Amino acid sequence: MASGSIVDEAIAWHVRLQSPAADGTLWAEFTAWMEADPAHADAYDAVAFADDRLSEELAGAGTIATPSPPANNDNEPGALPWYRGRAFLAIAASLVLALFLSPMLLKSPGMESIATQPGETREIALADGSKIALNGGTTIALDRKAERFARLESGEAIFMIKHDSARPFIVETGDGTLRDVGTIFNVRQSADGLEVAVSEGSVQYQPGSEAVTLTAGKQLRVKRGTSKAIVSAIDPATVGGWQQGRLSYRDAPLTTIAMDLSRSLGTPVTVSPDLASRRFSGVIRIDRDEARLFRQLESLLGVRARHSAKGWQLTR
Amino acid sequence: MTEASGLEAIFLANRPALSRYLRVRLRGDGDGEDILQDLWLKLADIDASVIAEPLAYLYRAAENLVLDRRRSAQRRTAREQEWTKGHIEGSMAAPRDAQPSADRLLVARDQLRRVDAVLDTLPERTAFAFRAVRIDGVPQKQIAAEMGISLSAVEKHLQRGYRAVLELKQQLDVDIDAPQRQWAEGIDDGVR
Repeated sequence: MASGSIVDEAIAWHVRLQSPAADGTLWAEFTAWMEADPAHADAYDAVAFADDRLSEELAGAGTIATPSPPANNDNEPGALPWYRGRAFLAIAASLVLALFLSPMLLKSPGMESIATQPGETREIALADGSKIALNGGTTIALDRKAERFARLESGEAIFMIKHDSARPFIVETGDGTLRDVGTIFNVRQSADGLEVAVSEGSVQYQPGSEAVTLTAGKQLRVKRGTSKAIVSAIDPATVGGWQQGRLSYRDAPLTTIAMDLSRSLGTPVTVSPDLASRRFSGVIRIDRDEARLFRQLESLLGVRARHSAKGWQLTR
Repeated sequence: MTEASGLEAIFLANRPALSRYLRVRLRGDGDGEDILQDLWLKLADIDASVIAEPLAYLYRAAENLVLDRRRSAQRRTAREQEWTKGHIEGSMAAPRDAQPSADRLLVARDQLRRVDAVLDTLPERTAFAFRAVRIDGVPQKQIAAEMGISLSAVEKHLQRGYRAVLELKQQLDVDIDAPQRQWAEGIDDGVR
């Protein structure tokens, strides 16, 4: 326990910092005071934490929170532009190019593949009213004979699935299968593995005996080569944020971010090897002005960004 | 450029200072980069036009995130203690929600009663100033005028109040575990 005078100093700082006259200079002085002696930072922490608990008790004694309403699984995003039936098939058929056929597709003659280039996004509509939005650099395969089915070969897509409890929608990926009866969710498939985030309704990963059910606000990650599914919380409002130019991360390696940026911008973004272990949590807002975007990223990620003929490279 | 981007500009210009603050504030528990990133994320939703001291505001917001993190770490520890005691059945069961239940309400009220009792042991004017500012949220300036004293004299009263609350909380930390566990067991017994 710190000595009495240090505790008194810590309390004095706590009070001064809360006064309306507190400015940036005062906080900088306070930083220097904490740096002067680890006992200072310890004493302040005890004061701030005790006071924080008082705040909690003041807030907790007055109200009882009401539970949030359950997720609506019957969502019909009717306001969105929907393409339907034949129109969709025509688009899909025109996109079947030998270039995009993966080995798996060659074995399934009924499959059609749709791909986007980096920097390009596309919305496709299925005959049943469901919709899939493809991020850049994404390849998806659809089965002409099974309309409630899609296979995400690589990249990222948002699925807005029309409710039909009799016919669940199946999404296959290289790292497992998803089963869904009417919801909105984002799927990202990369060399690192699979990432699924649910915005509305619920989705089952690996339906069957090992099923993991994801409800709205949940995110699942499966690292390539492991069968372990890690579920975490995510703000449902940020799911599929790439559609609004917002990329959200929680503890993501910079290599993943570089890949997403390449996908969104259509310009290759690479990370120098010494940054490979660096991780990031937060939101990146895509600015179409690349120079401005990378200037911000330098600050945000604590890196340097260099532009060359090969695209952007992030270095230490 | 909007006001919000003004706040973002202040963040970017003062990032090193905020980072320095967090590093010493966290006392070895990480370098604060994640908190800075969370802070950056929140800036987009803030109306900067009402903020008088934007830089002090950013420090305060960073400090609040430090406290948020400490609070949730403590809740996690409490939940894990319950878990190991076998109170949550089934490995896929959702962890108990942190929302205040009726029992939590009682605990909070009990804690506040203790704070109240400690304040009653202080000089009357000290207790008055502390209650007014800290519990009722009256601005310091207004209390200074009401009591006919200077702002720094109000600060002195507040410091004495905080000292008493701190001592109470630290004393409670020693014996708080026992009643809380009983309380948790009480809920589970009701469910079974």
